[in-house]
Amino acid sequence: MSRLAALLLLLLLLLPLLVLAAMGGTGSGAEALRDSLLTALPAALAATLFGTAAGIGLQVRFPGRSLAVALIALPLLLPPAIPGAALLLLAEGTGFGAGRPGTVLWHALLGAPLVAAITWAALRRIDSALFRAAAACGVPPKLAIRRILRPRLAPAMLLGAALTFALSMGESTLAVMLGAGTLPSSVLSGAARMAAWLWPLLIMAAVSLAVLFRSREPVVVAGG
Amino acid sequence: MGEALRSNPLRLGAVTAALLATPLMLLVLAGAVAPVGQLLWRSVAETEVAPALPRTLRVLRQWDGQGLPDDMAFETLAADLAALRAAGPAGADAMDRAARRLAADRPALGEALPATAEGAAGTRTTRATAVLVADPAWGEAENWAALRRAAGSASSFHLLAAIGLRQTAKGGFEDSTQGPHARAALSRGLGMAVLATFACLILAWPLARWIAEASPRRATLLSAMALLPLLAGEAARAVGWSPLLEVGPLAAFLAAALGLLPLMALPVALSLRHAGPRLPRAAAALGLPPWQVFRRIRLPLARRGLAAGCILVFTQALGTFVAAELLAPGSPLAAGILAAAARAGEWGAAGALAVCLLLPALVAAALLLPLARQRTA
Repeated sequence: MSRLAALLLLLLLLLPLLVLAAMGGTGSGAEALRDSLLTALPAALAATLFGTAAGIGLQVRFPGRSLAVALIALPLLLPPAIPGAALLLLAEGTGFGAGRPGTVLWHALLGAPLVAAITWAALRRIDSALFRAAAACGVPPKLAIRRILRPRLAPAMLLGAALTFALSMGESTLAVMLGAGTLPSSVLSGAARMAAWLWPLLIMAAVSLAVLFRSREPVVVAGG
Repeated sequence: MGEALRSNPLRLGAVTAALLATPLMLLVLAGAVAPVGQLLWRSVAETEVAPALPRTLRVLRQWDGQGLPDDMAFETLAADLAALRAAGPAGADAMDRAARRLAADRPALGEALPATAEGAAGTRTTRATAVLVADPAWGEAENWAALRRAAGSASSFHLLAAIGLRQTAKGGFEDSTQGPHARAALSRGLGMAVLATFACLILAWPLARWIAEASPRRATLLSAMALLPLLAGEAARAVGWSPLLEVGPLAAFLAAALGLLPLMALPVALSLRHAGPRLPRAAAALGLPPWQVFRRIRLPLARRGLAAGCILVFTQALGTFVAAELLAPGSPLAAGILAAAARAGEWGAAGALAVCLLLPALVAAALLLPLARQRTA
């Protein structure tokens, strides 16, 4: 019974996307797609860089760690219209903040905590005994880090980057306010409908496949 | 998070770790905290009138607020306006901005400024009478009081206007011209956010349980499907719902709120999965009826996820307006008015609305974050 409710709910969630797919696109929306990619790729890159560093650093208890966590998570907790207006104000004063640069910045700030959380979770799973064992076997520290760390860190970083990318492609509130010309703005005006549902689907399909077919335990969602 | 910190596989020192986290912190400070702080400051700052009418401001400071100010005030007003006229396009710009700010409080003042600038220049009678003749608005004490308040460095005007009030000359409060409209938008925004949170709270549970109890592969698949509407974005959802329902608050609510459901379902699923099936099974085996199992076992186990989900859904719903603009254009939300004010460069109004939206978000965070902590309260 509960499963049925959950299934119906899932279908209800997906309904608007199915309708969007059935509506068909009126234009190709190529320009909006290009703008979206030009926003999402730098945002994903920045989020991964900053977020991975933070995820690694937050492993350790250092003075001010709670403040760091609060700051890093802050962009996710702000009602979206507020930073939009704030960036427009910044743009009026300094010239930077509106259009694509501002949108890239904010999408990066949204994605970075996700990357940080995912890499933090991935690193947390590493048994310190592995490093001790490597040291006992005479492995130089750098090699130990490469062999033990990289197989776990790389998928986490990729997952975080993919999620940030997907998030950025669909993020509507700030993109509309800052005038970034991304997919959501053009979907509202009627073009690019196909791209709007196709891209998240492709990304989530790619991410799911990647997560499903890894030999190790999946990184975030299904793990313990 | 307590036990996780004992593991430090990379043997990082505290300083290195702090340095690794610093770039992101600085980015957040520069890109989020500072700009938002500046926006919030603009909700109380007064920037338009003082530069335009500096001498009038100085004279008005001596006014006691009773009746009309003395003739000096009228003369300096005329002098200031003459100076603005003489200053060419920059002066016209400054007068325009001052007029708009004053008009937001007392609509009559919007035309009074330019009219007085025109009229007082051309007459030969004493300045005081000339000003009154140019526009009768200067005969009302209420307008002078509004001018004095706007000419200060900070005032509560925008904050009051955001909740639909204004301060009278005598210091009391009354409805502003847009009063009921402003309050309606604010309550719609808040109400929508609360409703969305409750709706997600209730609806997400079955899905969260399914994801938590499914095999890792299926859970990944289900999570991806649940995330799809969120990642597709509010614009796509709004356009997708538009052929299905008539334009109105319901369509806007569904488009905005249903997309936020994974924000509730996934944290709850994570909590439930982390807790494992043993406790509920044991409770059921011991004879507890299903409703009690839910109420006394599963719900507390999911506490962290529920708290996190509520915060996420509530704050996102507070700040969203795209669906409402498309599907319910006649009933704007507070966030929509914020966006419009920001687009028009009216930072006082935008800042005040930001304060009004931030307060509930802070309250929710203060109430719910302790629940999301590791230890039981």
